[in-house]
Amino acid sequence: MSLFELSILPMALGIVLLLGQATFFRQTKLALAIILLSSAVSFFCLPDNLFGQLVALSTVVNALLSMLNPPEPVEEYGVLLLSSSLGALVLCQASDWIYLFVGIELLTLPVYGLIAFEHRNAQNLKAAVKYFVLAGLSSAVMLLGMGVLYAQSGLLDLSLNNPLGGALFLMGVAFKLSVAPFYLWTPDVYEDSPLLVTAFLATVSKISFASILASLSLSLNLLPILMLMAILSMLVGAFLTLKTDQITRFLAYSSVAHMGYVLVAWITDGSVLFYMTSYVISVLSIFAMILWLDGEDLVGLWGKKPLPALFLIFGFFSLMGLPITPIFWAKYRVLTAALVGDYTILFGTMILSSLIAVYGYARFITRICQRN
Amino acid sequence: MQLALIPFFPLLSFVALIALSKRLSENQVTTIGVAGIVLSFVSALLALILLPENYREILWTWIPFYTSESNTATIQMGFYLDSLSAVMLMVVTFISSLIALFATSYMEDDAEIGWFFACINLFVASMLILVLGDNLLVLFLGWEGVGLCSYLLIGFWRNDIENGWAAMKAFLATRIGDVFLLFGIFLIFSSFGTLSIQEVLQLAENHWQTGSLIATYTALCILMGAVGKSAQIPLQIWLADAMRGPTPVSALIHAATMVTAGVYLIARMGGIFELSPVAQTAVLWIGALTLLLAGVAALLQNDIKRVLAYSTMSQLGYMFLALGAGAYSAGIFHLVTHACFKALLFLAAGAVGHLRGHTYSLLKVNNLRYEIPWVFWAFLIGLSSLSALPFVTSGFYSKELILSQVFESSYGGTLAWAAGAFGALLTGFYSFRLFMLLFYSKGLSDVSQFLKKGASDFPPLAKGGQGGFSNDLSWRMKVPLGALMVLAVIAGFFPITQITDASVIHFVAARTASWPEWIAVSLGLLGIGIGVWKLYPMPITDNIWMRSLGIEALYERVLLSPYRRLSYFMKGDPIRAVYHLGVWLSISVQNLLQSFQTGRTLQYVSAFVAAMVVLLAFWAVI
Repeated sequence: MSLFELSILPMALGIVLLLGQATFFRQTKLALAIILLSSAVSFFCLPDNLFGQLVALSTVVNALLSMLNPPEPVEEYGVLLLSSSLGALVLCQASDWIYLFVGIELLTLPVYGLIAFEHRNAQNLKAAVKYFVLAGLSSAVMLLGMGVLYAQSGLLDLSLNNPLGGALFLMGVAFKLSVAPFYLWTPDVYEDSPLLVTAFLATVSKISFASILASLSLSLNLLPILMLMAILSMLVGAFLTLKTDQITRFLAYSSVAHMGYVLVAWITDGSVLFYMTSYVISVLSIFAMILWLDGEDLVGLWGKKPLPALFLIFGFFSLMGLPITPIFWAKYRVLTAALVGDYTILFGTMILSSLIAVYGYARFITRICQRN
Repeated sequence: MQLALIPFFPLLSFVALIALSKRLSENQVTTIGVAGIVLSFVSALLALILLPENYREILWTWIPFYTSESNTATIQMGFYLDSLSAVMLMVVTFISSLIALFATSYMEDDAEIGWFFACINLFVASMLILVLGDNLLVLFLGWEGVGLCSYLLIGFWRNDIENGWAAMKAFLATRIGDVFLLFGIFLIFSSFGTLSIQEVLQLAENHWQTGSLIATYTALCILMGAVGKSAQIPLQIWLADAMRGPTPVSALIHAATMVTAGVYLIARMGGIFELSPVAQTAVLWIGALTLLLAGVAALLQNDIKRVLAYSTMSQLGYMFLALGAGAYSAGIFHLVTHACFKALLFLAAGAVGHLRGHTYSLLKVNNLRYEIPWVFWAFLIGLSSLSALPFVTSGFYSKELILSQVFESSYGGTLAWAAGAFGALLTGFYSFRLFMLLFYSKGLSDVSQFLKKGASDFPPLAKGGQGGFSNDLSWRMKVPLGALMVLAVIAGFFPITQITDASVIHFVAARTASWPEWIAVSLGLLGIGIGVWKLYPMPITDNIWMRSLGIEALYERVLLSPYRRLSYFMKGDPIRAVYHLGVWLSISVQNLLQSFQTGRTLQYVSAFVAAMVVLLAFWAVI
């Protein structure tokens, strides 16, 4: 058994178990235990793939959060969740275009189901359709890019040796990472999906697509288009956070800006992992708390429930990039790399974007700390 | 520590008053306020008796400079006591004590009496630092401190916006002088690398040639500083308006002490002025010009305090005249006698104001001869001393000394002497015009006949006994008035220290009266005669003399009005507009971007394709 097979074994086993359980006897607690256990075990089966470990960890957190308020029926939910994570693990370890594409589809297809899991909810259905149409389009573009690359080289290994193919492929990835100008779906889908799924989209999906960036080597003639996307993304995300009150929508815009920073990290020194890790920590702490609070109003939260408020504030401070929070170090590293690599425009835009976005995060913090 | 104690007491009482005045009763406030100054007077007296001549006291190293490895310069917080600072010390502490005592009665029932005494104490402390400062930076510290207190106290009654404008005007006008003084200090530091006054004077004497450019520039810069503080032409505009402050403040700051700081500064830096004949001549003629013009202006005022203000400028002009002629001791002697009789006059005016509802207009307050005898005698003695009534007043000795020395001086000569002598005539004239109007005019009828119209604009104040105005002065007013009356007579008789040994003994012994002196004396008497005889009401409503020869209008245009406009402009915080622009821009961009979020899938698809095409096109173009 190869290392790759070993790494996806726990989750695959979990899927089989859940299917069996759904057929013969349904037991919510047992199902939840299987989800949690299989994702936790898969964390230890990924000895030298940090992206994979991050995916597994996010799945664990997601499984834990689903215990707060288990979706009904939980076995189906678990199957979809685990298959999507399985796709993400495949994606993280993909070594050629075939594996990559299979991974992408395995990651994306169950998500449609997850979004529309409560199929009587019109909002969720709307989001599912929207995501399905647009993600399908992006997959098509990505596949076109891969086709061009393969037609050019006749090889399946991951390299962007053809500019056009590379550009098309990267645009597809940009869509999934919700990088401007392909970000339009993000706020709508984030807002209209169930929170649990939004948390999954914001972490697992983002991590695995970022891992594609990490496994590709940057080709120089794609640099202008990447830089343009990064700059647009940073600015658009920062501006859009300014007046948004709905928190998932807000986090969607914030992710646009942050994915811009991730692009900068990739362009300047290729270190996407560090940034993604700190981003995931911050975002998960916010999502976890919102789920925990179960729709409670954030205004004046500090007075009522200091502990969740503290975690929320930590998350917002981190997204803001306040010193000693995780994202501060990530940003610091990216900025240093941008300066060293002489990417002055990226450096300036990143500073400007962080500066503008502070207001948006501060609004939430003041609301949490407000006295009423 | 002995010297440091002198400014320490008022400073301590300033701090105490600032910190505690809300919690203290009025009695406690006045006690603390007066005690600080009196203790300072006592310690000054002890210092004079106990300390040796030319005593220097270094408290700590204030600012260390390291100009190069080998060359280190330091500015030390230090005080220096010689005969000049001793004289100033006595004048400042003694007169301040009396005026503070007077103010306890004058300011009683004022809601902010704590703040008033805090400012007075801060002023005294600053003035003492100025006078005792061993180097120019310490001196400048005091210099700015007294300027600040002057500003605070002119605008003390801040409910009236006019008081605020007057305070600002004083601050700005003296500030022009201060900037020049700073330039002078910079010139000195860049030349010698030290600011210690004694060292500077020594070095200047050794290294600068007489008439050299640097000496002239330095001296002129210092002169401008002195001119601003002492309200001499061309920076005289502020003093008359400064009279809007409480009268004890006018007596203390704008007559007896702060305005003489300019005279002190020039006397202190005399060594540098002696190196520059140009600057020396400038001092002389600024003094001569000011004493004449201010004398004429004083003649045409119809407000007691404004008459006294112009008279102060005029007398300071005499001191500048003396300094310009190189007669330093005569100038300082006049400073001392002037401090006594002018403080007396202002306090007497303050007593009038206190008993007559803060009215100082000669059109309303008059015929006081038998109503308030204390004020009558105070004015009689003070004005006699001011107009140098021969032999029996202190003003006579100091003024005659100045005039005779100017006459003999190589810088002065006959012309400067003539200006001074004519000034003596003016002084007598305006002094006794004021005297007669205040005590012997038959009510308003004289004035209203003169005016022919508008008599109803000046309704007479109800007289004592009828309108409820009291004529009784408290002992806290009588004691300072009495003490100053005695001083106004005898201050000229005895030498305080050897610098003022140009007193009566000196006068009689060293000088046989010559024709210039006879002329000066008789001109002074003639002036008094005109004032008494003519009983000239001259209620001037608006003319060019009242507005300082149009110089005031010039400053209004050039300095005050642009400054006010700038402040109004800055009040709106124009730099904030830049930030507002940023905010507006952010919100607009966010609105624009938000308008793309239609929520419609088909539009998103088109946007996706369009974005792809645009990006590829952009990339192709690049």
